Amino acid sequence: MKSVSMLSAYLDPDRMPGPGGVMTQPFVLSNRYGALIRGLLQRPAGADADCPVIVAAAGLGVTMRRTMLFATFLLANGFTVVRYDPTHAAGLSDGDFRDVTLTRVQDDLVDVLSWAKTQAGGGQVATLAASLTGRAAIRAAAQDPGLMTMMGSVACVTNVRATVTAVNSADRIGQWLSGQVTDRLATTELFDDEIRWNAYATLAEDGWDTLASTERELRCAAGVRFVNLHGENDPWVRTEDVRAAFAQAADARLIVLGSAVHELNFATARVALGILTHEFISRMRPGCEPGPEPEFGHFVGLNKVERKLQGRLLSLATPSNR
Amino acid sequence: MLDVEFIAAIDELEDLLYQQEEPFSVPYERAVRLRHEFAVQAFEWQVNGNHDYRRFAEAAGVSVERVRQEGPDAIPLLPSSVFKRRDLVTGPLDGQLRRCTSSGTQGGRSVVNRDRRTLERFLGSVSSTLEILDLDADRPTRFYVLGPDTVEAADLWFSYVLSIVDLIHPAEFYVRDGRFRADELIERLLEREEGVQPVLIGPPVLVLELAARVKEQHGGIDLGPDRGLVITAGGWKRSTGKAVPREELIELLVGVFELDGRSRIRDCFNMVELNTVVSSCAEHRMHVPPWLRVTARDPGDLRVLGEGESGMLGYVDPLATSYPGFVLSDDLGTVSYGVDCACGRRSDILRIERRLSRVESRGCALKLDQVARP
Repeated sequence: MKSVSMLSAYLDPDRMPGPGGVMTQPFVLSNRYGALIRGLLQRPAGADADCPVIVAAAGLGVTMRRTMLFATFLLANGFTVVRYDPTHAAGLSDGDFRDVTLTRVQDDLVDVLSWAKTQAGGGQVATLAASLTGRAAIRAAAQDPGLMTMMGSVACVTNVRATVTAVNSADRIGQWLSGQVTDRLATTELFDDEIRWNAYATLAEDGWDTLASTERELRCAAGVRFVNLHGENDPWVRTEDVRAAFAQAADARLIVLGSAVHELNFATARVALGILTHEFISRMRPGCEPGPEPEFGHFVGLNKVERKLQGRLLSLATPSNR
Repeated sequence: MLDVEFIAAIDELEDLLYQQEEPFSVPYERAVRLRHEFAVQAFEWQVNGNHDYRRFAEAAGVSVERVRQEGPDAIPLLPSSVFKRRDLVTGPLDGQLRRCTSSGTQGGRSVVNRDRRTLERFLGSVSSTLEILDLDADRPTRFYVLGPDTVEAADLWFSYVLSIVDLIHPAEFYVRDGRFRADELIERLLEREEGVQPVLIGPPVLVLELAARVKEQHGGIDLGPDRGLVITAGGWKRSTGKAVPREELIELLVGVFELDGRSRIRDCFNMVELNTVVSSCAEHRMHVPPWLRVTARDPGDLRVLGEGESGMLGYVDPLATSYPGFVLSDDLGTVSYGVDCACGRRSDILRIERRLSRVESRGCALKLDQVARP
């Protein structure tokens, strides 16, 4: 395994211009296991070298495209945005989704955050995460509170066992722990995708599964501000679990979005991203006022840029992987 | 214990639009009640925010209270020709306006101004129709669009609608510099990736042209194994001379693209004044989404016609906020209410018969001017 300081990265020097003067550069990062993480670095028009960076991490099982709307809000407010697909997950990075584990998701997030710091020119770095990836971000913050200034999250999972049980309508972690299943390489499902039982086994073995573990880690993450947006009608994340967990953090804010579900849409995103952007500005760009919400055309334009860059992104390699 | 802040984030209309995986899963009776509420809210929004429409509604003697009591059919409909001669903008606006124009085949271009919320809701309506088209947002899919990309589409609404499918799945565009690149598309289809669902989408005249070329050059292209789908969108417009009956077109397309049956051919309907897309199911029925009220109207006095009676189609579309989505179109058709379809959905079913000819259209416009001058 490589240490974080040995991470090898390649940032495409060609910048593709997009709506509102946003510049997008594909990057690849060889993670601590040598697998390639593929992502996009997006800078707002006129970004300074020390422009604060926000690493946007999509929920497990979906690609970085799902964070495109996040990016339009953050870019419109002067933040540099790093988005990526974790390895062994959905998307363009190395690895098969069947081999996904939350531990790997956390490792990749830490590796991307470490690299993002090098792009912030001494400025601050924060995380914007969703769903199970939010849980991984909490552990990243607990293990090294210096990694991020703030964690914004949407539908953050705090009781992993309760959530994956609700998602699957079956207690797969319980099945593993009780010995009903013993072959960790056998496959089962998560969100209708095929994964190995190893994913559930490691949730228990690596201490992800309980609410108590989340509470403990939030107590450890001193110095990091947590802001979580939770959907009132989220079928997979219980409000009481979220409330109990974030109550353990030294600096946290919890907002329940009325009638919202687990995933954001244009209507709920407006509210959620408006709040999160305001929080990121207060923390990372004090004295600045929030800008106007991005137009629909920005979303269409950014999509166009990203579609064009997809082939380029797949062809990139780090110096050590060439 | 941490304080929890509670913020209202979404209303019932947007909940139905964005948060229901399948809008038709709402029981029909509840959908009718919801549609009534949405119509009242939309009417109130328009009379409060649009001076022209308020005058129009007042002249027709229709108040919010009356719409509340009588339902969406009481809402005065604007003849689509109004959008050809007047810029109708309803405030307060959400962000900048995008100018959307019709192709002008009926003489004169309609102009509809859409703000951010209206555009977002339109995209929401496109997404909500995926299920009915048997498309899955998370399944590897590639759209082959027989139309231009967003930049070339510019203000032309029909082309813009086709171009934004790229927001849902990767899309390639085969009209460039105003020319349909059929041979390029055929080459691409022959080399397409296995395991990725191919979806051809475009106006029927170009779909027909593509099928004819494929048949002539290769006999056929097998899109069946990856659940290939062909979606026609829009009418024949300037190409009515080339129009073939729908059944004939379906038979040709199933054969040429070696599709897995007739259900793999679908149709979508929209027009520049409408902010909702209506799509056909596997049974070739156009299901009206629960928020949209469609009626067939008597061209003489605009009264709502009965089940299956042919008339001018009128729409009450609450998804439009920056303009009044209450429109009497130039199309003739029928509406059947609360139909239990073999696809498993229960909804109103729209059937568009034909576009009014210019002569008929002028005749109607003259009559409409007497009863409905905005």
